[in-house]
Order: sequence, then structure tokens, then C-alpha cells
Amino acid sequence: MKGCAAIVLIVALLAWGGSAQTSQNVRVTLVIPQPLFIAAVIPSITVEITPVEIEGPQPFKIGDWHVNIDALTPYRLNSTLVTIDTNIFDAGPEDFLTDCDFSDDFGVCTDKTSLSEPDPQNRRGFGENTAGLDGADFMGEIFLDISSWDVSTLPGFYIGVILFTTTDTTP
Amino acid sequence: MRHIKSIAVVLLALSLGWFGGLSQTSQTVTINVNQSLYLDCSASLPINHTVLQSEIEGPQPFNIGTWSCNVDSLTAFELSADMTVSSTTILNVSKDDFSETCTLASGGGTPSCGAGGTFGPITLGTGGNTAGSLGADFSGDVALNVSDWDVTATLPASASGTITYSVSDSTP
Repeated sequence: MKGCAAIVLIVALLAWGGSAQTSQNVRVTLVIPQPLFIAAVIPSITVEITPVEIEGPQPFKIGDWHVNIDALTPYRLNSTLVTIDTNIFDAGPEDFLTDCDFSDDFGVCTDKTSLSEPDPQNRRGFGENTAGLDGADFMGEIFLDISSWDVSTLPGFYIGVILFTTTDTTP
Repeated sequence: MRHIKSIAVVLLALSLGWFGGLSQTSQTVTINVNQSLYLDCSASLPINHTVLQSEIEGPQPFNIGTWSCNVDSLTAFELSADMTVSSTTILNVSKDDFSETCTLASGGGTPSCGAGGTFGPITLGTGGNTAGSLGADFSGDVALNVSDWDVTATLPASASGTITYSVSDSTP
């Protein structure tokens, strides 16, 4: 053993477990159940027709509208009046008009005034992704023209609902 | 008597091989380091997130999850990440909509957070040899910016992706 004795020591640092590696993946899954949200900001409109309004220019203003839209896609905004009940002959959605005179956060108003015809006549505006903003506000006025009405039962009344609709316009 | 003692010492010396370098012993030490970096991101759980209206209205980007990785190292290292993402129902989805921050670096190897940022790739942290410790721990947030998305009419829309964490030797 003298002169040739050798002691070999091998220290191997083995992998500390089968999962040890220098790269790992983590899965990310996102779900968007709804890309468009619309909220009406103003309360209901209740108007009593006075002689001043009957004598004055038609149509006359009866109220305002204001909606807020959160969007993750380009969209258009439409509004349509639906008659719920009335006892006035010839009263209908075509007697009501509207406009859009304010929009923000990438929203754009149109000049269309109909509340009774299909798109694009009842289109109030359009817009795009509003992420990071408080949503696009659209505002306008609502007008009434009673020149075709025939009120035979008193008190006469007209009850309707204005439906505001957003539609994805992604091609 | 003194003479006899001297002879005995010489014989003992010869028997032990102390003379003239004619005999020697050696001890060979071989150390194999098969891997100098170990990454464990098992604490980074899969992220499943539903985008809410409040997140659309809120500041961009917003947090959708967290990440956490542990590095055992025998060298200076850099922890980085990159991402792939795709969607058939959302236009404009890309990895630069996603970002990560490093908010905590602790443990062995004097770890420190990197700048993070928008994917990718991004540097999440750096550190050195962690021997004798449980490794360097890094953690932070995963965020999403949806301001350039165009969600198609097919609902619910979804996007999926994979974040790949990597550790590499940064020895110059």
C-alpha cells in the first residue's frame, strides 16, 4: 500500500428532487363574460301638458337623457321608445324625438333624432374601449310633438319606456 | 545504548517511507456540480380571472394574481419571465397587455428585486450563491391592461396564456 495508496473521494451534488429545473410555466386564463355595460343616469320623466306647450313650437322639450357605457369593444348606442299604455288616439313613439349633445371618453354623438325607427335612424352615438376611464357618458334631450294627437278621454295619458341599447360593432 | 537507539529510529523511518520522496500518498477529490441553479415556482398558482366592470372602469393595469418563486443557486443569477398569450374571441390581445412587479426579495444570496414591467422578457430579480439557506424567495403581482382590447360578439370571451419563469447564470 505504501507509495501507491490513493483515496478517491467523489462528491456528487445530485439534483434535489425530480422537479428541479431552471424554467417553469404558470397558466393564465382570463374570462370576459360581458364586454359592454350600460347604465341610465337620469330618473324617469313625468310631464303634464300645459296650454303654453300646446301653443308653443312643436316639438318641445320634456326632459333629458344620460347614459354611461363601459366597453371593451367598439360599440354603437341606440335608443327606442316603446309604448306601454295610452288612451290618446294617434299617440305613439313617432311623436317623440331626441338628440345627443354631449359625449366623452371616446364617445361620439350622431345627429339622428328618431326614437321609433331602426338603426341607424335611432343611433345616438358610438364609441370604443373605455378601460381605465369612468365610462363614456352620452347626454341629450327628449322632445315631444303633440300636433297629431287626438285626446278624447280625460285625463289623457301616455306611458312609454325608452330602451337604450349598446351593440358590439367589431367587424 | 545511545547508538542502538539511533539505529532503531532509522529503521522505523524506513518502514514508514519517510525517506527521499520515494513514497507518497495522495487523496483525490472530485466534485461534480450537475446543476448550479434550481427554480421552484410551484407557489405561483394558475391564474383564473374574470374581468369585472369595476376593473374596466378602474386604473389600468389592475392585478389579476400573484407570483412566487424560490431559487437555489451556486452562482450569481438572474430571474426572468416571459409570456405567451392567445385568444380567438378578443382582438388585440398580446403579451404586452400583461405585466409583473417584484415586491419582495428575501432569503439567501442577497437577493434583490428587478424592475419587472410589461412582458417580455422581463427581469424579476437577481441574487447570488444561496448555499446554506433555503434559497432566495421572490414574489410579486401579475397585472393586466385591457385598454386596447376589442372583445368580439362571441361571449363569454376568453384569453389564455402561459408565463414562463426562468433563472439563468449572470456571471460575467
